Amino acid sequence: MIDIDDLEVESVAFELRYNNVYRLWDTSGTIWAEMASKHPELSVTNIQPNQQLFDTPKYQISLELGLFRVISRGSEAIDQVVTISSDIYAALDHNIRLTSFSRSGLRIMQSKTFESTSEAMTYCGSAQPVGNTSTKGLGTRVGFVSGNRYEGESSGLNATLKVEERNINLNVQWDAIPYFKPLKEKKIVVVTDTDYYTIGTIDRETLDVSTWIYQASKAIKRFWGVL
Amino acid sequence: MPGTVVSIDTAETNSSHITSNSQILKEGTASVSITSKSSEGTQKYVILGPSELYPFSDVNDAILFQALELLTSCVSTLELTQRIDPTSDYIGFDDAMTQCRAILRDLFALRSIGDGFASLVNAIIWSLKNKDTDVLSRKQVSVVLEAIKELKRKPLMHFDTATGLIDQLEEADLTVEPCMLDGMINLA
Repeated sequence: MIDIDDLEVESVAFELRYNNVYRLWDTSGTIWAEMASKHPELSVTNIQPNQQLFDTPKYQISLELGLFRVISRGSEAIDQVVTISSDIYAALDHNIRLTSFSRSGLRIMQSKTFESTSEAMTYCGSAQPVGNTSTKGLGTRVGFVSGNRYEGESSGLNATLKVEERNINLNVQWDAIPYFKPLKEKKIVVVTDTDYYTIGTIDRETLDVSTWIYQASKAIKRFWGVL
Repeated sequence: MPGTVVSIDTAETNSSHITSNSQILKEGTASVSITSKSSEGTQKYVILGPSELYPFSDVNDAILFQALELLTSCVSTLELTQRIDPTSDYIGFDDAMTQCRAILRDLFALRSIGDGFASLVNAIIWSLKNKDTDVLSRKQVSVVLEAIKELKRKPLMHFDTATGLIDQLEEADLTVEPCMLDGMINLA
């Protein structure tokens, strides 16, 4: 059985969807000015009428006509996502009076590194070992991916567990080699990718973004706790 | 909470969207039920109430949950008040109203939830305070109860929504501001 607390948080993403708000074309400058006053470290990545992308080394914010999304990485990612999402939500609320939302979702990716694929697959509780030959002429077993989707009356959850081989190649130009070292690394990781989302319409007057994110993260923890 | 497994796959999937709907009004936390037909077939959707949005209130100490708990107590107390005839049981009626005032004071302490929440709770507190020892009419109790129920459904209500409910309190002959305010305005 997987102990979810044993895995490191790779990334956390919060997304709130709403019907297209065309007033974003008039007010996005004010929204971002409000955000920049609270988070001066924000820098522009891409600005388009229908999508604006700002980021920092720790997190990224994407604001679109029909949704906003906050992604953060690392162990502090959930708290970071709560803070940033609450701020962008408040800025949207001041400038564009949204009345309802069609979906709220929290996605958490966690991982743990292993020495070998077979070790990782054993950790996942995979019955068949790596290298086992298929009796149906499909070759040898080289990996493991398993996914489940649950849906209730008001919420749903998508969960994937997989063993992944990650190849990291960092090439450095010859004149930069005295300052930076090229990197070539292979990592075997067990990854859990869980997306918890609402089904149905959310009234603006019922939604507290920070509370919902903490509740969603609790739902995800509970899910892996009973897997 | 997620329910039963609806599919097992190895690829990422997204939730489906509402494409068309018909609405059925219903009392309770999930106040509106919507049936929609998507490409996958007929599915049921709801307007989510606090209990659906925040299913793990037992493991979270956010002030929102304290407020929802107090609002539930307040609704029960007011419903009890509604059932008491003050002409035959003044003590029982007054006792229930005293309990209600005490809960409202605790709710006022949680006013950081939002402007709408704060203004409505404040208006109800003053409505009851200004009645002093007078008995609230059946209609006044109903209006206060409806305002509290609405606050329970929409704890993060907008100031404008709260203003509409405060207007209803005034229409029921309740004074929603401190009486001394009128005196000060007259003096000016």
